Amino acid sequence: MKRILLYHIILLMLVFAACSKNKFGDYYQNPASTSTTTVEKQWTGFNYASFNYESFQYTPYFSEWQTTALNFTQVTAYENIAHRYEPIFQYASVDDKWTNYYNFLSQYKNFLSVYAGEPAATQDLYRIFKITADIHFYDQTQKMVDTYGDIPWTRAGLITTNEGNIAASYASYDKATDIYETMLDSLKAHAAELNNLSASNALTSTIATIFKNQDFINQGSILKWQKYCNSLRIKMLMRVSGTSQFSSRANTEIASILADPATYPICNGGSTAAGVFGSASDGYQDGIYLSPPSSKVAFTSSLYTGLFGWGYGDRATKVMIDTLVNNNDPRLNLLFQPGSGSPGTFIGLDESLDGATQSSLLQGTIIAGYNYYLSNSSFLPVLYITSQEIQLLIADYYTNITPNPGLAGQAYAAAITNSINWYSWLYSISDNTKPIYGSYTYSAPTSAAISNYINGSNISWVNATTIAQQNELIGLQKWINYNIFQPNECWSELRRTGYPILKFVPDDASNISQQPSNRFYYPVNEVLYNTANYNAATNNGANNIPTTKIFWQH
Amino acid sequence: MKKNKTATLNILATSPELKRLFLTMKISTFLILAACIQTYANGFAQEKIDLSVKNIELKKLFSMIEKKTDYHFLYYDAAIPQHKKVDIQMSDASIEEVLDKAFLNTLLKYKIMNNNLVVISSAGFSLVDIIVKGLVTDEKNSPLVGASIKIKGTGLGTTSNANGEFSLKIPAHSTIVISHVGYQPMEMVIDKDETINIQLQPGNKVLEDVVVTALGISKEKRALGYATSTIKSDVIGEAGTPNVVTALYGDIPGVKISAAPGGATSGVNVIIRGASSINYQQQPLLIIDGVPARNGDFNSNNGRIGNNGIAEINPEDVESVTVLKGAAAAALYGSEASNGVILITTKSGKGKKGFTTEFNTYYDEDHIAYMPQFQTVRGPGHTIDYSTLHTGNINAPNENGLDSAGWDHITYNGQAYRSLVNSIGSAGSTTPNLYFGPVYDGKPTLYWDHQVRPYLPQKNGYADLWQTAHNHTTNIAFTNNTDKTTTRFSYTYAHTEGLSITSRNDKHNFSLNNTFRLTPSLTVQTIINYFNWHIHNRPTGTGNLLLSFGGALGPADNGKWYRNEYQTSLGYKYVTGKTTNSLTPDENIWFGNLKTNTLDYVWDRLANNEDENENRINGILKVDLKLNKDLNFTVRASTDITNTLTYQKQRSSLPLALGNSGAYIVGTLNDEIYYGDARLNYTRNLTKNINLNASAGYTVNYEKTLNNSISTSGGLSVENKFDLSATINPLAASSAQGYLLKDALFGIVNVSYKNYLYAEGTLRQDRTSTMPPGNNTFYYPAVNVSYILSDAFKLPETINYLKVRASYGMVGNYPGQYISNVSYGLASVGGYPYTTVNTGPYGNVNIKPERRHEAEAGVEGQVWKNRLGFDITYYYNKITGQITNLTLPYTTGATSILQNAGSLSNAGIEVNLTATPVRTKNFTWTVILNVTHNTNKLLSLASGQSEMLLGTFDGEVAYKAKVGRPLGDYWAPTIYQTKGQNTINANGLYLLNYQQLQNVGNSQEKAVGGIRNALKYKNFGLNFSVDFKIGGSESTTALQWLTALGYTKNTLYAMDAAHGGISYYQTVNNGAVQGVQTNAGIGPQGQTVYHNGILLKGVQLDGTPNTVVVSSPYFYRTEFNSGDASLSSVGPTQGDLEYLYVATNTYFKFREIAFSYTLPTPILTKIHATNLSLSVFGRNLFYIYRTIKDADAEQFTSASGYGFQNGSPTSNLGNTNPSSRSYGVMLRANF
Repeated sequence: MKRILLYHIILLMLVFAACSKNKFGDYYQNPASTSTTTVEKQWTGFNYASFNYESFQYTPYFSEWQTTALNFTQVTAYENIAHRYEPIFQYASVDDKWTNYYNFLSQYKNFLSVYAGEPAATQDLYRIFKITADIHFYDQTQKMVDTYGDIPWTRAGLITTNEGNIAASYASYDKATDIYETMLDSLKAHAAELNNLSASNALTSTIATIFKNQDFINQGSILKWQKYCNSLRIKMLMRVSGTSQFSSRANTEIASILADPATYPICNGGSTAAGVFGSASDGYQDGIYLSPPSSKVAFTSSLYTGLFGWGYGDRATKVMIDTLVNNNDPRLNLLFQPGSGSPGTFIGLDESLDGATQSSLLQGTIIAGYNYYLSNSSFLPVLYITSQEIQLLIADYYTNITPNPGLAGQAYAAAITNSINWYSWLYSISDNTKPIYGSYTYSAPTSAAISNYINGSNISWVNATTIAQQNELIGLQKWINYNIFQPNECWSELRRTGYPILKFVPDDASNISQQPSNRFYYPVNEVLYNTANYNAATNNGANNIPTTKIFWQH
Repeated sequence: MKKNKTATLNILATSPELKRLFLTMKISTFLILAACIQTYANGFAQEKIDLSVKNIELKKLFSMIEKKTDYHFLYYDAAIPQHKKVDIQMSDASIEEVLDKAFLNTLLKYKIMNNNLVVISSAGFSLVDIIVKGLVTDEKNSPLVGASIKIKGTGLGTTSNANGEFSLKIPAHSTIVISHVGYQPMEMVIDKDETINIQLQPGNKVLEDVVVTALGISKEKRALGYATSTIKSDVIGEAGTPNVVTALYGDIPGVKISAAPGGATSGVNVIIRGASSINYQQQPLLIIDGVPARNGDFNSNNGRIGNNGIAEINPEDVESVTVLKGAAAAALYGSEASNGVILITTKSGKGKKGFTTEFNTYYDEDHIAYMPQFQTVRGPGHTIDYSTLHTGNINAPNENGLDSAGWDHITYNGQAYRSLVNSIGSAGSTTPNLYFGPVYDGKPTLYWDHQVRPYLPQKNGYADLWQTAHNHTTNIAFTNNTDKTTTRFSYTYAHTEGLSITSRNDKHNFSLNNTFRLTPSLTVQTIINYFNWHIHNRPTGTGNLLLSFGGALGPADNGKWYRNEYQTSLGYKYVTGKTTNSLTPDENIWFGNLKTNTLDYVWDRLANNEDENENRINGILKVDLKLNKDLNFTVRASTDITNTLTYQKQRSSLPLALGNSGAYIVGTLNDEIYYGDARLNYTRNLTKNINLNASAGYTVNYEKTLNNSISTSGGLSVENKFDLSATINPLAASSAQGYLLKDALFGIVNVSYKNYLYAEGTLRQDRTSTMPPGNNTFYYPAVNVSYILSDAFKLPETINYLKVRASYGMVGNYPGQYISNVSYGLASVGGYPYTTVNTGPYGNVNIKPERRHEAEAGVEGQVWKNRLGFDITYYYNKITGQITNLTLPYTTGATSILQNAGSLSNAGIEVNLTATPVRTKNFTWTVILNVTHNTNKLLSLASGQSEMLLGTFDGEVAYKAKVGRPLGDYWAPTIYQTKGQNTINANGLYLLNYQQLQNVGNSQEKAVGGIRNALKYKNFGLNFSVDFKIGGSESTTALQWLTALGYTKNTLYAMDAAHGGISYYQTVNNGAVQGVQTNAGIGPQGQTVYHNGILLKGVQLDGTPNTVVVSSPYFYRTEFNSGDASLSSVGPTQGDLEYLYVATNTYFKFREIAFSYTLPTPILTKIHATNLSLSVFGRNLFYIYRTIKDADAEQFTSASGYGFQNGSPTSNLGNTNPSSRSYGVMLRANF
């Protein structure tokens, strides 16, 4: 009996010994994930989270831009069919921009939470991560505010910080002006702080190394982050410069940036001197972007398929083609290719025709399209900011805020040169494999061609004698430069300045928006799931209409 | 010895994790010790009796002693003096002292036997012990194991062993009762030592069946307070089922079965008592011979048709399948049992003594069946009236280069031909894929494969893309029974094919089942199953053939042409385009109505190979130890190890000189389950009438998976060189690992009173690693009661048996592996390592298991001489704390979060009727009917939430969970109403209102069930079954697309005047091309008059009656097309009447039939066989009734569960194979 008893006890022990409490803990966590992270790892994760929207991927073009900003700015052809100027409400894929941003924001807030969890001394050491995170975060935030207006911001993305407490995490909306103010204040302080950190040995070599090992955007270059910060300030300040709340601030802060390039470096075509605008052949390189072939970052863009959309989304408008053709713009051959049915001749789709006629034209073969070498390249860079856009904004500043036609003209000319060279470079690094249709010859723009263009009668700055004419020129160049590549900026500057002057056939069939919309609807996701805050922010939905203007729009 | 033990315990006790273990051990040890003490008392000390009675009859005295002690009295009534009364005042007396005093002055003698039996006789009878030996057999003379042989009136006795033999010491002249479940008991008076042969006749099985219950514990069915259903091997095997579950259609009340068509490698969806989860797993737990086996969900949504673990079980080795439906029945499985439990018992070989052989072989064929009803009137293309509407330009020529009648004109080899619409190179455009083209006229036409043929519909054009599956299965099993061992060895070879071309699989299955009775108290059972399965080209879903515009194969086409043309004469993939680079430019395909997606599909089936080699070993060791007559100890350990190697060889589709192609992918999957349990069981008669049975035990389960894949990238550097070394770009690899640990403590207490009232209580405490540590322990209780009224009371004679039962229990469902983790994903971008917090879904460390509370009550009985049996159950269950992915506004920082949110309930009635309408000497007819009606209801979601979108079909029809409704409502846009009428837009089509949706169906059925008939005439048998499902909708997307494109018969309506078309001409009105009805032969401005118009009933937006006639092809193409408009879009795309094709899927299917002949016994004896039968069978032969005519009712089953699981559809015609009819022959023999 005793022996049997013992056998049983041994057997039981063998079976039971298999499991201990620790084992249950060990097997809880997915081996493919981790339960903790570090400030620097989450910094990189956060910065990479909006990759899709910064690197010319299929999704944003297919789901949003092909039916909205690209048409609202007439950079791509659209048919004059009913409801063409409405961003489609309750259209799941248009929510993509919103989803993408709030994922990005969520990663940022989580970065803040990890950062805040460190002791004060560590926070001081890692200060550069916080500053640079803010810069990139504000850059994307500006694009959201410019698209939607008020958005949930300070209270948003806190589900991880609140450890899964749902009730505490429903986010109220911040006023668009408050967001701009917060960002401008913060960037101003960061600019000063970055200037201090740019001194040698201001960062410990360990932190400098860690930062360099994580910073896929600027490879640890403080100077580049300074340029990103100050260029972004110019972009934001110019955007709000026409509002009473911000106009004087725009004036003084831009002036102080432009006056002291040593303290406040910007993307300026390679120039480091005040009042000088760089336009050497490599001037375009003075931007914040990642070029795939040379960078450590492995990615490929997929712009063409998104642009093509449901068919013909890659086609050009008459106004764009005619503008480039009439002025011998060297970018014509870089950006476009003629239709296979009209070899050698560039024909855009006339935006004033009726929809049925446009439809058969598009189904035919004569309309020019975006050049495959550009649109079908896997090597389009991840783009944050360029010298040419900043120089055009400076021209804008010297025309409308602190008039100085001479400096404005120099900035204007430098921007054109940089823009042409930028597209020429994109063309040269393309790996496109699609055959170009139609016959057309391409040769790299010569400096003579560039200067002929700049001095052409319709383009030359000196021929623009009134502020309206100057604004028309600046607006035209912004439009050509942003083109399909920066739809956020293109649409925003057009709404803000009204230049270039484009004609849209009114959509009489729409009771929502007879001209291109001024903003996007908030997505259904907000209406359904963040109802209380949405209702409070929109007067129960009454203000959630596409004709509402963003506060900086006239 | 004792010292050593203490030392061991101390060492272990230093480890704090083992505290719980010791608690368990303490309980077990206590039980063991308590039992031992008890045994000792019984065995070694006489029971002492305290008695104080006056003037009591002897018989009363005996029964009083029986109540107080373990003694039983055996006597003849007549021998005991009736009026003799005694007074006894004794304390602490032995039985002898008591009896001596009581029998004083009588002639009575007594003898106390070693089993506490007191035999009393008068002086005239001898009191000698005699020994009776015997053999118990069934009606076929096979030994009956476990027959009970009892001395009448005592409850004492023995049971027959594995060979049906017994030996029992009894007092002479006793009556013995021989009984066995399922047989009529017999009584015999035994006067002297003798050896008897007893043949028992079958009785009513239902009454006395022993069934397997949770944890593999066998119990008398009458004692159960909950419903169970058991199906035996004869039913499972009769019609050559591809897997165990598909043999059970309509056989088990409360269980809904649907199988994905595709043959033996396809999954089965089993739903027990309605939907139990909004988001997650719905498949029952699978237990084989008491231990868990791999099952899980299946999913065919990624092309190949998958299977779940249960489909791998060999039907030939299955003895019985029992389904535990309710929570009380399954409560001992706690958190694993929320979806019910399927218990499979394999054949162990017990039965006839000696060596026997069983042989079974069958062959069957699956023929494609239940295809869409294609129209055979007109071919591909479209006429000009479609084109004008499609382009919106009344002056444009017909699209796609067609003439106005829909013909393409081609010059080929210098000769002019007419050809069908050129669909090649028109990616992105859907118009060339229409079937609204020219009417078949039999005149010569150039087809895409360069042949000139008469223009006629092709016979079997679609079916010829598939193969007939030839399947055969052979099983041979040997069993050997001796006193000490029972052995069964079985080998099964099954070759099955799928309807998908080149699909075949070969399965070898070895099973060895040994039982060793080492000592009378020690039995060891070992079971080893080994499966070797080779699946070659698992069937692929029909996606391309039904669901894609570039693939749908219509009657103008022929599957044979595709089988001929998928490769060039050099073996490369076909080339399209007249001038495309190719080594065989003459073979380039460049005109006609080629379906490139179908040709791709054929290339994939014929040129590419995927081979899965699965090895699965499943071993079980079970030890039964009888410690003494009250105490049993059982311990079980098992493993289930699956190793699968998958090789994919994708042939080089291009000559290397023209480009890189081809691929080689090798994958491994390891899945290991380790299981152990131990149980101590204690039985005791508390009094003569009250029996107690108690168990305590522990189970532990550990699972481990590793899934690896390595593949070439960018093509093969040498054509068709299938090795990783041939990769062009760096190799791509992935690996995923998973671990799962569960354990539980459980206790069971059974009490029975007088064998007619039974009560049972169970409790389980379990833990799992899928829950956050510290929050991972939960309790699951259950109780059940059974009351046999027919034994407790005297009932009218027509009622042979009547039992009522009731139970309540709770089971649960944990979140799946890793989904409750709050974690960061790891990745790297270009060498910069990073993390991102996982936000969709965000985990939850406070998650709790779902709880399923269930109460049920039932009544079962037999009436009219057992000719009619019934079993009726009512149940109500409530699943609370549903684990859901609660949708969050993105602005919270996560798209969803894992939450216990919401509850749902199921209430239902299950009815089972068994009748024997005819029972004569030569002819019997039995019929079994099962019906289940279940009502599911979503009781709540997260606070304040009234509905949840589970998914959308085609982006249009919303699939929702709505509070107050059954799970799985389909919602679709309504037609915009003006003045109470349907609104028609300027094009003459319905104007849809995407803001206002309406409920157009629900995926849950109203009732399921089946009828099974067995007819037996002499040696002939005829068995057939019908099963049915009433209600439950499907999204019939693929069929709707076929309608949109003009493939199906229903699109003939209005194709011309003869088919109801209206005559009209086209004109431009406010920029829109509109049709105007006319009786004239020509329009007012000379326009062509067409005769294929449809005038929709309704009003224009301004309220005036609609007068705009629309061309019928345009009507079908627009109204049935799945467009780009999403669920509730107000976008430019005017909508689609998608919901026309959310259809109710009701059916009555003639499921299977088997006609058999068994050789008569004299012939069998001559050939030394015990059984030899030959049968022919058929499965899935025809429908008695069905609502969806264009597909098989089960063809929608593309994954487990209802509607949507985890965001992907479970019902998708495009992800399955066509259905089939099967015919076969079978031979069964026993020697």
